[in-house]
Amino acid sequence: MNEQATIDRLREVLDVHGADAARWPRAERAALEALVAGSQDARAVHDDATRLARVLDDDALPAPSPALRRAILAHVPRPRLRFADLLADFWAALGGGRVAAPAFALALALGTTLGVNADFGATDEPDVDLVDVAQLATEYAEP
Amino acid sequence: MTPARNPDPDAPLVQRAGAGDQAACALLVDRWLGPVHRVASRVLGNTADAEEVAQDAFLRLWQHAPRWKPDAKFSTWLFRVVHNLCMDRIRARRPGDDAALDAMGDEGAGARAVERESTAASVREAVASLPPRQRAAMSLCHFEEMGNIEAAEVLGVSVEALESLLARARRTLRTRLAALMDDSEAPRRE
Repeated sequence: MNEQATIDRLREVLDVHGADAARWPRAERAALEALVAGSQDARAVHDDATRLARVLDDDALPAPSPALRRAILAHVPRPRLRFADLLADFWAALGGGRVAAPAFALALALGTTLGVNADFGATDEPDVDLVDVAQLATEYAEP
Repeated sequence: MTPARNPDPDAPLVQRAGAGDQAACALLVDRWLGPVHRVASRVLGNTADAEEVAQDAFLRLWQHAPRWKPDAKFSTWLFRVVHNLCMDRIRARRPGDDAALDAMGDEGAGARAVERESTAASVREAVASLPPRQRAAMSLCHFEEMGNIEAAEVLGVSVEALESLLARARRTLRTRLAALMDDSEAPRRE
């Protein structure tokens, strides 16, 4: 393969992969590097690609704003609370099985006992005042 | 014997993010917001649109993370989302609409900063004048140093097609930036 054909190949590689030899196809890298080192024309082609890369790299864009970062993180979903987790937390806050269970049992027993034995003055007789109100029994003067 | 694939360094973070780990989400943003913003800025030609694309891309990540399976490398997935969002925006632009090349650079004081900004503006204009897929190819491969195989996956094209995009892009840029290249110093050799 003559040198011009190889310089043409160098041009193709530079157009596709750029000036950085680390990005050149591994199978051709050594041969192309040797060509650049040994040929003035090849060096000129490589220098051209290097200049292009440097000019492109002059465009350093500014970093994204902190406000953009905050806006993105504001949309991170919060972990969903499961009802079972809430119940477990509530139970633990009450003291768990050692404290809460006996307390609930005592409350239930007391409530049942009081309810059965307490006298609130209930009767089967209708409340006369209530009946009067319901029937609008109060008399008003005619206009 | 084929070499083992390198494990994706982002996969554990994405899985943690999917499980609701807020710290993992913040780390992903810190790692990838810059590159995402840069690629979107170069493909779209303005930072306002790029910011919206960046927000959309991360929103999709938060939605997708609970179902994340490491079939593809995370960066490939993320930039594919960014690329698709950018292309959607470009297609939605009416023909003849100029992509507003807003001032994307820093406003520095002094002649040197002005000169740098002028060069940067010329580069941005030249890159923005490329067809969208050539812009995307250059953004990924030159500016973000992504490998050609991964970049081809992001763009949804063959490696040969990607290399054709890169070659055409560089030839165009060499023509458009010839004046700046002439001003640039010759590379030193050791």
